[in-house]
Amino acid sequence: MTETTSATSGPTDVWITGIGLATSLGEGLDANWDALNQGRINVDEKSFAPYMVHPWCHVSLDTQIPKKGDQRQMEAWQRIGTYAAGLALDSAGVKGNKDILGRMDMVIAAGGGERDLAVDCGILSAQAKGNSAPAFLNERLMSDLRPTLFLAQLSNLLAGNIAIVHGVCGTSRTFMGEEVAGVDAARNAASRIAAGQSDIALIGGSHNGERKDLLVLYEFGDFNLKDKFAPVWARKEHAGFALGSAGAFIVIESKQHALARGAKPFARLSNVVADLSPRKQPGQVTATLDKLWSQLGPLEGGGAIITGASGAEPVTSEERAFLQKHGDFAIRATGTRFGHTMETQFPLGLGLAALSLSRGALFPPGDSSGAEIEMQRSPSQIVVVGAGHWRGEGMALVEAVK
Amino acid sequence: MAAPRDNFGRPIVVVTGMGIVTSLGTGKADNWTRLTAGESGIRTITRFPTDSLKTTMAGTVDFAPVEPFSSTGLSERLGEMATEEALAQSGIGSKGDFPGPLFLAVAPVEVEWPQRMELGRAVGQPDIDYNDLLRISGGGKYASFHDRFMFGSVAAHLAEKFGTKGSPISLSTACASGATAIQLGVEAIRRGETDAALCVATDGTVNPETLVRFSLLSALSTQNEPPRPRRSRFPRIAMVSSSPKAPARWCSKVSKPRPPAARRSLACWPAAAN
Repeated sequence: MTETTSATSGPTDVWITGIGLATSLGEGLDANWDALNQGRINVDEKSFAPYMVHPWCHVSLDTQIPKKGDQRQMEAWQRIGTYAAGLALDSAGVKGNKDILGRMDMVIAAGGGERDLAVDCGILSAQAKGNSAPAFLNERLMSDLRPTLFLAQLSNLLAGNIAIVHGVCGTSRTFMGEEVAGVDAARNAASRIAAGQSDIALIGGSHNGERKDLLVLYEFGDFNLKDKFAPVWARKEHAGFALGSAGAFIVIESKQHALARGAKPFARLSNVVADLSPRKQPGQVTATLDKLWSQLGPLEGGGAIITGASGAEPVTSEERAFLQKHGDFAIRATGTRFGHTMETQFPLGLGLAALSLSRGALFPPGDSSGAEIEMQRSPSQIVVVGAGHWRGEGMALVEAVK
Repeated sequence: MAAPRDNFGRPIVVVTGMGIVTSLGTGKADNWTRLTAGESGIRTITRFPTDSLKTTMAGTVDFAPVEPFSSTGLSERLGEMATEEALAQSGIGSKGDFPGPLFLAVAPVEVEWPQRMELGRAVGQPDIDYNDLLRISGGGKYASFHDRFMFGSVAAHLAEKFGTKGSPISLSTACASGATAIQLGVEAIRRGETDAALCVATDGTVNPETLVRFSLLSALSTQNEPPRPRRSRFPRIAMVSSSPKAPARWCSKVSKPRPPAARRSLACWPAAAN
């Protein structure tokens, strides 16, 4: 186990030394930063109408996934994630470094992969036409399912692909559970590093929003945004999220480990906290967020908050009630700009927080309702907030390294 | 009193309660009796028609009723049963109030065929595509499907029922998932974040599509007859990659010094956690 051989002992600072973003706004830090500053939003309101999704940017996969065979055996969410993970490793300056990658731990937040929609619909149509023999479902699945589809559907195989393509070969863990899985991935990896149980870790997730099977799943709960796009804070009467497509990864490591290899930090990941609000009574999510805020550590006033608020209700209103207690903070909702990328939303927020701190500025508001105010000064602390559309709440404190 | 430490200065982690539900039965005593008698829990599948399937046997648990049935619902029920046994043995906390976090190894979740077919029937036309499913999915009629088929649903339910603390973690590392759940608990205790952890693994996913998927990867034994080789010294079950329904769970704490025998039992932990 890595923990007994760690070079560090006792509490240590956790630095973010690599960021990989491949989103609907573009690939790489500059493309995303520029798009945020230009106020660009990439939303497709036609292909899935009346629903809308934020489609992934088009990239040349070969630069991060050189083997076509590897690309072929992945589905979109795995290609997005493997690509973004590669960007993070490049950003941290560890790509191809077998010594470091061989002991780099990995905590991935993942859902499941695409279904084969044609197979599903073929079976449902045959059923509708009266085919209900006991063996019918079995026969159709045996003949119609692609053997490799399973490898694209299993949650833990994004980690598998990252290990194969990029050689990240320390411990590997895949956390599931929608939005808060992204919080817990960061929480687990950071606490291991802080305690000397790990030196360096890759954390993140990926999500493909262009999936009708996912739209069906969230439509069960009436969570999809319909008909017309609006910023997250302007959806109260028309609640819902627009699914987003993104891969977001960060490399975190102990300060000592980063210094020893001459790596420069984007920011410090000072704390990650999470909880499970019972969500049985109004106000419970607000109370949970209040509690998590109090656990973050010393906060200066006038800072910034990057939230994964989705526009789903009632949780977005509950989060709004919490945010309004911190009116001096500049708030940015990533859901407006990137859509809702589920497990990936929190790692995306961490990446954007670290990027903003390293560039000495917060990106501009994405909303004209007054919910997001300008921030003139250079941020020294950014709180990343994530409250799941159904369950799970989390926060992180990301700070400038001075 | 300070907790006992190991040679690295870390808190010693001990197992104080275990529970198990498998195809052999419920509880440690029943499982041990049957296991040492050479029984196998592998049986011919009766949960659904197996016509046209290459593999027709599995280690199913069919004595734990779940209504409405889903693989995820069964996983949840098996996790509950195993946890109840482990907590009873441990005596830790009180009913609905476990003093630590939950680490849950659980199979990936998705909408299953009975529910998908229910939707298909509700569309009410001969040719169905996903736009048709989308059109009828909203409005609250299928809200329970959303909740059931969230990846975090089993953990959220167990966390609420047993009153674990903080954000429960659902994890998958394939066949290492159970070991990872234990590893997460051990690490959390060693970091001093908690004095106890509830580490659960559950899998109730024997369903037609799972069997077909594993079959297409040539991962399942097709030695269907006999499915239950009694008293065979080395039963050729070869179900290693099927979907065993074997939730086992541990609960650990360091708040009290343990007798030497209990401490020695930890020798197996690092191996289990690798």
